[in-house]
This record gives sequence, C-alpha cells and structure tokens, in this order.
Amino acid sequence: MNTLATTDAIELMYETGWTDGLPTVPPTREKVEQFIGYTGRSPDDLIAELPPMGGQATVERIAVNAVMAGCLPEHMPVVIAAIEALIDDRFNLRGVQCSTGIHSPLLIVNGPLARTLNINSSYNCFGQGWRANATIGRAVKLILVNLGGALPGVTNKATFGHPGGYTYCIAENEEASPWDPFHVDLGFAPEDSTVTVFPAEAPHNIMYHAVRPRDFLTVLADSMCTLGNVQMYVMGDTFVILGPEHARMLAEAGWRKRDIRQFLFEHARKPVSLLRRGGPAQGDSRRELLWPRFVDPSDEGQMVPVVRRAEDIHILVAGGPGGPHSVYVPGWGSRMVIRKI
Amino acid sequence: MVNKPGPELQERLRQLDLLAPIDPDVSGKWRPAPRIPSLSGKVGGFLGNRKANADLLLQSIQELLEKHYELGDAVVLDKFIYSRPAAAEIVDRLSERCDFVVTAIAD
Repeated sequence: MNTLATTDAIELMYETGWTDGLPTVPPTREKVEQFIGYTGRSPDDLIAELPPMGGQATVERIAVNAVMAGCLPEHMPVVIAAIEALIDDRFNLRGVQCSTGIHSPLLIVNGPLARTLNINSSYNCFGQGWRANATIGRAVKLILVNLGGALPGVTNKATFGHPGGYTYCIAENEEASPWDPFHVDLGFAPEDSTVTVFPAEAPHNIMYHAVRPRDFLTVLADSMCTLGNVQMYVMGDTFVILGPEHARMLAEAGWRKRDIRQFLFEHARKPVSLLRRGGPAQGDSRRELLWPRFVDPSDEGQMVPVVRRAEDIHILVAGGPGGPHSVYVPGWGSRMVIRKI
Repeated sequence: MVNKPGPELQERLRQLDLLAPIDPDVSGKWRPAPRIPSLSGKVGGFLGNRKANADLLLQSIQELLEKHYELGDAVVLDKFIYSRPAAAEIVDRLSERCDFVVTAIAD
C-alpha cells in the first residue's frame, strides 16, 4: 500500500466511524490473513456474540480490529481470550457497554506470555509507551464498539467514560511481588498464562510514604469506602494493585494477601447513616438488599463494607519500584473473569 | 456506525483491499416493534428497572395514558437487576398479555 492509499485508508476509517478517534493501521486483506494464520483457526470461527447489538465476533473480524489497533499477530491469542472472558455472564458485558457509569474493561495479563509479549507491568504500566499494552487493550475496545455496537452517546450512555476507553491493559509485576502471582492464587499453574477482565474505574492513586503496614492499610481502606464510590451501593468485585514498595513493606512485616484482604474488608466501611445521606441508597431501600446479610439497614450505626465478602477484594502487584504508591481500582457491581490464554 | 456498508463504501474498501471491522448483518437484527393504530382498549405493560424514581415515572406515564386513551388493562413489573436484561419469564409475561410495553430506566 503506497502512502496515498494509506492516508485514504486511515481517512476512510474516520468517515465510517470505525475508529476510536485515533488513526488506525489499514486492515488490508494480506495483513488480516497473517493475523488469522497466527491463531491456526478458521476465519469464520465464532468467538462471541457481543452485546448490546449482537455483532458476531469471528476470528477474522477480531483480526481486522487487532490490525487496526496496531497489534502484532502474536497478540491475537490474548485478544481472543479477553473477548471470551468478557462474555462470561458474571462480567455483565451488556451492562458495562451501555451503563451511564464510568467503567471500562481492564485487562490484566499473568504468566510467561506477559513477559514474552513485553506487556508492561512496571513503571508507568497504566500509561503510555508500550506497544503491547497500548494495542492489545485498544483492539479489545475497538471490537466492543465495532462488533458490540457500544457507540458513545447512542448505545453507550457513559456520562463521562475514562481514558481506559482507548486502552486499559497491564501485566502483573510477578518478579516484584513477594507473594504468589494473582493467577496462581486463583488455581492456575505458574507456567500458565491468563488474562483477567474487570469492569473498572480509572485507577485511584494511594500515596503512603511511611513504613507502618497497619497505617498504610488504614489509608488504603479509607480511600476505598468513599461515599461517592458506587461499590458501596452495588458491591461486586474490587481490585487493589499494590506498588512493589508497599507490597514489600507488607510482606516483610509478615502480612499475607489474605491478611490484607481481611483487614481491608473490616476497615473499608461506612456507617448506614452516612450511606443514607448521599449516593444511590438515598430513598431506595432496595439497594440495601445488595449489602451483606450481617448489616442491619435499620441500624444507622452499622458499618457497611465496600464488598460483600473479603475474597471479593482482589490483590496483585504492579508498577515500578521506588515509589510510595499503590492504586485502588473500583468496580461497578459485577465480577472479574479470568481465562487461560 | 455498525450498519452494513453500502455499494459505494464497499467499492472503496475493495479498491484499497481493506476488510471491514464490523458485522454487516447486525443492523438487520434490530427493528422497531410494529406500531399499533390506537392505544384505546389495549393492554399496556410498564416495566421498571428498580432504580429510584423509575416507578414514579412509569406510574405517571400509566396515569396519563389511562386518562387519554382508556387503556384496557395494565401490567406493572420490575426487572430484578437494573443493569441486566429482564428475565425471560418477565418478557414472556409481558409479551403474552400486553399490546405494548413502556419501560423506564431511571438512573
């Protein structure tokens, strides 16, 4: 394809509305066939029917979008596994695609493939600069719009959306984690590669410069249970991504993930009286049905946790070493899904 | 847009040897329900999503329709989870009994 044709192809994608607003790589037949060939699958293999419009995501159509996103052929297995995970009913993709909420699927890759594909798990992992993070995440987002039909303002009613709508993909920093990797916690082997999808808000930074684990966790818990956090009213899964420094501080003091999870479950709480004052619980007692059974909604002093069970708080390690930061990533009431690649 | 590419667009794609990233058949899956000539004497369904004030909105609409069109009857139901489609049994009940359905998605 010559320069003029390339420019025409890029502009054509704008005219048709098939891009996310950034220029796309022209999905030429030759390039798409190369991507399909890498998967070893038939172009017509149906991976998913994507809500809300019900577009059929075949291997070929996924490949077209992956080419457009700037992927490499070897990214295809991750993209396909992510799409398969997204249609798991626990994720509630239809709701995520159409909601007025701010959530967008976050992809977390674990295992050896994350290193092979150079998916950034360290400095600036949520930011720019790594092809795999940028393009794998972007491919999934293009697929959700072009095949799922989640058109902003039309079928996707997100009041704001967030920058993760362009791409939202990291790997766990398994080398910097003092504990087992996230996918191993969930029963996979260390040599397995997995992709986890989670309907996620943008990451919220938690800064803590000192060295007292209990104080750090108190700061973190306080940041998780704000009155504006939709999780206080809809529960579901939630993610805590510890920076390497915080993870090491906790591990050196003997904290295991389950201890951290339990501490956060017990401390990331707000009283019924405050939750009634603001947010969706006001005037809608049916929301209280989502709270854990041990909470008595008629007792204004009772404390409501950010999730129904301690195990709904998912903990992993990512980010670059040397900074006193971790992030909290709120969800929107549904579940994360992990899938082997 | 996810509509099927028209002849002109298909030709431009062909000239550039590009494949479309969409399912061209998807837009044909969806069409508006057939319009009914009059609401008078018809059974209306009113489906809420359980969010605050959805019930009030639906109730107001129902009252207006009953006042102006003398509805035959009304079936009022709620989805259980507002972020998910109505359960099949709810859709079945509405489709069996109602001539039209109004849904409210308060947020």
